[in-house]
Amino acid sequence: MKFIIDWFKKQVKPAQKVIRPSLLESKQTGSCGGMSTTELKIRIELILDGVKTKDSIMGSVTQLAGLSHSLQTQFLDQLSELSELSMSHAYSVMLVYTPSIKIMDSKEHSQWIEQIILSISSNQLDEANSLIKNYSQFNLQINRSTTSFSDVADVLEKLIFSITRQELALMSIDLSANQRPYTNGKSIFLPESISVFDNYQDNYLLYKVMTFQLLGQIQLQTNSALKDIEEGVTEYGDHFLDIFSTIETLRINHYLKKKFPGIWKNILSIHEKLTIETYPEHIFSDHAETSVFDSLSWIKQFGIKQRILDSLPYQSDFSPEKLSKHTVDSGSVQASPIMMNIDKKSSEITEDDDNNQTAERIYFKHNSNSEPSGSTNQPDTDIWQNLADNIEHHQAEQKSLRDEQKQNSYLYPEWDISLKQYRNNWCRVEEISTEHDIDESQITDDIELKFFEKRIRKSLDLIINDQKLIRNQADGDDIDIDAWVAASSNKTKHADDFQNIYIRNNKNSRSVAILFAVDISGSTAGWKNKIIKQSTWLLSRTLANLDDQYAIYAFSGAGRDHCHIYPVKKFDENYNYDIKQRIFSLKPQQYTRMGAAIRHLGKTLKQSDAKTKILFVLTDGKPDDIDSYRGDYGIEDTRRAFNEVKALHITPFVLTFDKEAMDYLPYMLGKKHFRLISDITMLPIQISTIYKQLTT
Amino acid sequence: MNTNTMNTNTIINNSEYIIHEEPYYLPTANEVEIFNSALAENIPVLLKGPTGCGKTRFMEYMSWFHKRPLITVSCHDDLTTSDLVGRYLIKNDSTVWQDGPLTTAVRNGCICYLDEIVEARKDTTVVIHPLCDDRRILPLEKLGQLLKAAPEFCLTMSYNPGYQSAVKDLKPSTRQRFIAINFAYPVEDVEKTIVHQESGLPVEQCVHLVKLANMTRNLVGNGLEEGASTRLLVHTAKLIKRGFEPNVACKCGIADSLTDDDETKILLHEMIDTIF
Repeated sequence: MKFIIDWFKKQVKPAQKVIRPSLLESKQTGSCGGMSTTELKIRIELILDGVKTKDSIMGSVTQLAGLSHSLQTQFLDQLSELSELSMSHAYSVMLVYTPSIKIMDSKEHSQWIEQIILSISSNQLDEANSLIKNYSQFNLQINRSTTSFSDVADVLEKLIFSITRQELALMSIDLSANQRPYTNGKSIFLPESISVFDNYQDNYLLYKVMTFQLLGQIQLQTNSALKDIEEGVTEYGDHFLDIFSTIETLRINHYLKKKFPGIWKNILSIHEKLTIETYPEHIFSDHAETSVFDSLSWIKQFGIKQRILDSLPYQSDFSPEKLSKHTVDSGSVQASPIMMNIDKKSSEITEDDDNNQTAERIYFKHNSNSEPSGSTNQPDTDIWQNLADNIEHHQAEQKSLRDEQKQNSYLYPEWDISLKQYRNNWCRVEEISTEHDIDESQITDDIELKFFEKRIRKSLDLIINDQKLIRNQADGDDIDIDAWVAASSNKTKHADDFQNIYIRNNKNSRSVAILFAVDISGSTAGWKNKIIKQSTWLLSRTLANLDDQYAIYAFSGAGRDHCHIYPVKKFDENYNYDIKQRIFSLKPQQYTRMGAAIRHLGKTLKQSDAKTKILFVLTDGKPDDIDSYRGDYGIEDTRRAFNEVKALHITPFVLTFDKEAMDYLPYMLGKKHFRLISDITMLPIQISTIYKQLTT
Repeated sequence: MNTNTMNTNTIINNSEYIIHEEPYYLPTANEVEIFNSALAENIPVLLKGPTGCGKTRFMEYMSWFHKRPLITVSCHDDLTTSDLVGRYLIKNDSTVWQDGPLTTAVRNGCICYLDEIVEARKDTTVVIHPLCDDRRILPLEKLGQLLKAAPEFCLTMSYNPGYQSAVKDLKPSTRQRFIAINFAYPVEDVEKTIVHQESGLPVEQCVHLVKLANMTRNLVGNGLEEGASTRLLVHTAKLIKRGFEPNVACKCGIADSLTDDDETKILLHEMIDTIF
């Protein structure tokens, strides 16, 4: 099986969670939230340890400062990795990093770095130099048939979710030690890349089959025979494991054949293309449900000494150390009370048993009183103690939460993309009253504002007028008797006179609540802040003429413990001079931790009894906060927060001035839920136009 | 000029509304018994469930079972009270009253089925309130009449509570006049039988179709608004029965019907290739 060995040898990258290309690509041109030149320079100097003079890296640092934060972080990680192998090569890569990332896509770029690392590791320094020097040629040379984990992980993960409704994380593995794919019951570990076949599609199918093999391993509870496999390995060594692995793979194939015929076709196709010999599929009955003990039983029937099967290319790792990593829940333990003893020396084997092939070497014993495999009394005590501790901790936490919430302070979870789970009670949101410390002269209406106000009123008047009876219609709810009488009394009685004799009753069925969430982070300082305030004020003035419920809140903050919300106008307040003062006293604050603000304002809006609820976010950039709330982390958390408010029947909408919003907003919100405005001076008109579109 | 001619000769031609052949319907729980009891007690019925799960078919079956005419109104946001109750029309130099479908059902003792009631305007649905309590009357304001419902009259309506829209919901005062029957997609065994019965496709292939449908339903909220309905499965099964490759039929009948989003479509195609 030379191809397997070759394939394993190709995998040398350390285990890591891969950054998805869809996200990576979206940030290649982003600059918001990136590190400054000073910060970058310091970090690079620390990594390169003064290999060159400060002046010589400034050009590269300036270029790197234009990259997004996630790309900068990726660069620093890769530079660090390279510097451990060769400082001079790391320096050379730094010089061409920015131009190289501009001409290669994320996948090609990762391969390029990987190839350089490989060359340095194998002491082929000339090749490494050539790769760095001729970076512009690299994408022309790479093997496009290779399928990498990052290409397929997203689709496969969703595919598994559609079957199991459980979020099984897909991770890449370090195959430098010839590791096969394996699972721990909660995650599936697959190779970093596959190049067994000379075309991408077949390599992808191999990925898919590997994934389903591991899914089958979980669903068929291979790990329930862990003890027996351990005993087999102890007694017969790796030879037992080889045979068991192949037989168990065949059993899983048998299951896939029945449950997922498409995958079975893929398996047959792989066998055919790799000219793999026909396997004894018939060993498992077509109709019977099988268990891992059937595989063990088959080994016993066949005889442990013989070797008839080679391993399969998609075969996973069934070694006891990998199977023991499975998360054992009480259900799976209780589901396998049959303990198997394959000890040939067992005193319970009789002469008659020898005549029976199945029972010859296998003895099944149902031990209802036995402890679950590997468990003792002591851990049980620990479990109960831990449970009691957890309950106590939870109660204390809840009490603390209640105390907190009494003081206008609320705790919200946050989605951690790297952990793929929520961090509970992670962000503290505080509602802070706006201070009226402004000069009256600042809020004097100027002529330009009056012009905007007139236009907004005209636009919104159409909504108000839309609520009247419309007479002389060609079709409608009722006859317009007046129109009919007029037409009838017309002496000439043209047929046209009788066309418009209906009345349409457009009753006011509007039931709208809109909450404006205004980003007042530090980046809005200056003229942006002035226009935001003017727009908010104009809209609140004109909306007062409609019956729609509306509220205005501003948000900013610094760090997860200081997410600040500034109520400007609550739903139960009417527009008045006081509110005008609050609007004009809004000042740019610090950062934009958008997820927490959206969760809090979504909760506020949910309390409205209106039929249509809209969360209208006005912002100038992507989520950004200290404590690493930026890049993928910030975007993924904000995306989650928007999905949460959607689940509350709230329609989110984002109006942004960020020119790079197209890189991340479609992913965060979907194509129809945001608008990018290039000319901020038109903000007042834009807000009212969008408002009308959203609510009619 | 005669301005108030009453068109009282609007007794319906029963054969138009009576269902003569037994529609295929496989009960999934006790919905038939509940409906029968509601009918006996003159209580209106609200059918709730996702699209294509068998609500309308159930109504056809019950109409056939009780031999009562079924008048179906597909509700939409332009549906007015006049569209339901009736209106004056102009005929020559006079106005004539024309009963709407609801009035027709009330007069003739039919089952009136308001399909997707939440699509109708809120002020429209209020007209059914006096019909849905023990009064069982329909006020015809323009005629100045209170129309007493015939003893056989039954009002049912349906809606899909899964729509993620705040504007599409029933008023509490409306929903509390009905007993509700919840419809969900049938369990695998039942759904497989339905698809087989409706399409004639071999059961083994129906099993795979149902598995695929369940996979799409698991994706609701993760790219899909709704999963594949039983109706979609039947359509797809018919395509396969006509000789299309299962993969092709599923892509046309399920994937492309469910979404326009390219990324989600790729995922659906992967699911199809996994199953077939």
